[in-house]
Amino acid sequence: MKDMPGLAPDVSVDALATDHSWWWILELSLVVALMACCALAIGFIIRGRRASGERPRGGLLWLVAGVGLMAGGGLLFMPDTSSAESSWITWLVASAVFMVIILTTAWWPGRSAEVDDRSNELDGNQLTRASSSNRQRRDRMFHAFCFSVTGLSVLSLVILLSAIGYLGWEYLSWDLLTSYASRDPEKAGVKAALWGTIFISIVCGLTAIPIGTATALYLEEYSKKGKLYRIIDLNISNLAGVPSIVYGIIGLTIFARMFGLFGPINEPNIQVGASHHASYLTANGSSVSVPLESRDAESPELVSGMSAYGIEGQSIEIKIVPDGTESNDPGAIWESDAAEPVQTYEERHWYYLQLPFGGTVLAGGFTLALVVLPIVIVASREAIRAVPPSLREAAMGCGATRWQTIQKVILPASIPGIMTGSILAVSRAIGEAAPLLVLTGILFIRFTPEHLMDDFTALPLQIYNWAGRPQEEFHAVAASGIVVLLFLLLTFNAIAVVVRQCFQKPLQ
Amino acid sequence: MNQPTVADPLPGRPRSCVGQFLFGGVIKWILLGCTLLSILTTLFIVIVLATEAIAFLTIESVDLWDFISGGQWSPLLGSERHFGIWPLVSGTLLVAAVAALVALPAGTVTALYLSEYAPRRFRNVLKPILEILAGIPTVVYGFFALMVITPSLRWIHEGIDFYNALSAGIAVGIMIIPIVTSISEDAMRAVPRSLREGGYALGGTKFDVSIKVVIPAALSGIIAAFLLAIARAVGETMIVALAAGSLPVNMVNDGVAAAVDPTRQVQTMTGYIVQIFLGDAEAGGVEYQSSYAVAAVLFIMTLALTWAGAVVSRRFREAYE
Repeated sequence: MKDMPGLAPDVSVDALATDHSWWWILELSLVVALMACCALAIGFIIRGRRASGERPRGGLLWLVAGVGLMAGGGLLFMPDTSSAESSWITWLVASAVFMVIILTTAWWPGRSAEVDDRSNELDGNQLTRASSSNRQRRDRMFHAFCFSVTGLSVLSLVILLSAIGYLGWEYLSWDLLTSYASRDPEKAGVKAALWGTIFISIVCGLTAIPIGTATALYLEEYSKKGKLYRIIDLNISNLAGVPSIVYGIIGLTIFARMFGLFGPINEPNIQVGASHHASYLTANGSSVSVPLESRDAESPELVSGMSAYGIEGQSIEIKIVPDGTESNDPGAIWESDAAEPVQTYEERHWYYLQLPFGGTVLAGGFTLALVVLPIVIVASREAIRAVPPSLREAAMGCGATRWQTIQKVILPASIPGIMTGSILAVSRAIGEAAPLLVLTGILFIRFTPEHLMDDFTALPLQIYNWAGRPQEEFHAVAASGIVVLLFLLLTFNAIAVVVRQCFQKPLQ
Repeated sequence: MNQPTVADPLPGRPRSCVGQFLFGGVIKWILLGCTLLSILTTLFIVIVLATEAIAFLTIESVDLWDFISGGQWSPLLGSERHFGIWPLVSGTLLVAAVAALVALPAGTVTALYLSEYAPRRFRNVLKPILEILAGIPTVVYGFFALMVITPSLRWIHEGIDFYNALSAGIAVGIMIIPIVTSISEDAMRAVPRSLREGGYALGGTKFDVSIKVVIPAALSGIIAAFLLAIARAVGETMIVALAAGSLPVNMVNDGVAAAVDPTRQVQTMTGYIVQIFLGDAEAGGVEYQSSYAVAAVLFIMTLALTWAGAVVSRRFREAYE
């Protein structure tokens, strides 16, 4: 990443690694949670042995083993940053907590392990429980092992979310949403990125959902299950496995550059909805502009009596005056300034379009649509396949054509499923960073997109940018950006769940 | 003769039968067009990558044999330029291997727990949690690797680089656990109940039945899950771009052993592509075109893995019932 001069020039990568004062808390929570899992597992083992009628000495052995494990782990992982005394107190407290966990799990009154197991199904355990054997013990240990590993998977999620929450709460405020990216972490915000993400996800959804649904309809309702069907089927599953960065390269070549057919990105050959202007200096230090025919048109030499536009768009009549004349007339222009414009610029209307697209909102949305199209297709196919054939046959039996069947029967029945899958696919698109990184790179943007051909940045890109910087403050801003992103995704998932719960009709 | 009055089954369609027929035909072609877009996408991917990669390999300063077999990747060094793909491939494989070590055992065991041991209520809680894990954007995992995993690893062991393959691999592993879990759990649940009941009737414990009946029966699905998960790990970009570093291993100077050291910084194929497109090279230059060649190699690798997964799950599936 580019270093930002003047902010923290002396922060080296190594200083960054050792300067973290917060992360040992995460470390400790990891160890504590790990130990808690072990304690739970040991407790369950003892409980199982008690239930199977073994002598309690075996249970005591496990207890000793558990305490030994915790002692070893505690000594191994005890953070050496704290003083020896406080670390011993921490260790004592932790051990006590673990003992309590083990004892309560093992000796909790009420449902015994036997009753627990019966909830699943009748298995060999219960038939041979009276005579406990090695196999029984192995089964219980394996159960505890599986439980612990599953617990670790869940634990990684807990640690991830808590780490991000811990880092991000500092900068999490309303200002984060309403301010633009900045060199000062205190003032940095995600407004441009948030709006960019909203724009591209709308473009992506409007492209991917209709095309994906149409493909699914064709494959499920029209296509003969022949060679073409198999090729398309295989093709879609292959497309789903293509890395998203490859889609980024393809999007760059097809959408942003258009194979170079329409000229370079910065000087597009085809433009719609842009007006070009040349601006001239006036005698009173302001400027006026005259419209041009096209981007490449010659700027005219101004003469008295021409009409031009002022800064606020008001109409001004030009009056050429000799060099050095003081004048308050807004249309007065010195002779030497009239010959050459200060600059030419281009004004873009809300419907502005250009070919090639460049790294713009439209290209970004299309690229993400390519990424999620296979997901939409698979989800829609499943939803359509879930419509019972009897409904289809009933509609056909009434004399409906195939399209009428689709329109009146199949689509209404499968729309909830299609929408659920599509919303989840769009939420995947929102989190994608790699294709956009290839398409636009890292841009420093302090505006929200106004038309489909505007430059943009997206939340994941902004997070990547901040996370890669050496300053710790920006890492905190990145974490709060992640909180915003995760909240957005959570909202999408919640909408998907609501759609599924509220609109899904029982079909069988 | 009285015509029985039938309620119009499709009200509001005044169009004639012929109109309906033509309309339906047009619709069919539109839908077919949308379907062919996906084929078109594949074609574009292949054509763009192939033409650009061939254009790169026919540049005078690039040697095809060096590209395939070379152990040095230094495209930005001017006169000392070398384009040997192996450092990037080995970096990718190293990260994927660490990820596989994390995710394959954890994912399979979790799947086994969910399908065999977990009470139904517990499973209903666990599955959405794993879905959340699957829905977290990869840039968040990258941030997690950089902010939490790397400092933890460096705290446990001194000599680990700030950017290293181990940290990125662990994060990628956590990311692909849900893929392994969901696909292999589907495969395990598809094993018919009668097989399990048979195992129990012979006096087997759940452990016996899981290991000797369920896993062998679901093996094709589990292996397909492994292959798909590894394909995802190979194509993962944001985590390695943030946490794995940007310096390819120099296998010529440091030896091949350096390429399998996970404590060093490595560059993966995806990491290189990101580096190029983030503006380290001018558009149209040799380095720029080299990224297309790298992308082509990446595409071939992931395609092979996905394809192998599809073949395994279709060809070696034990069909029951």
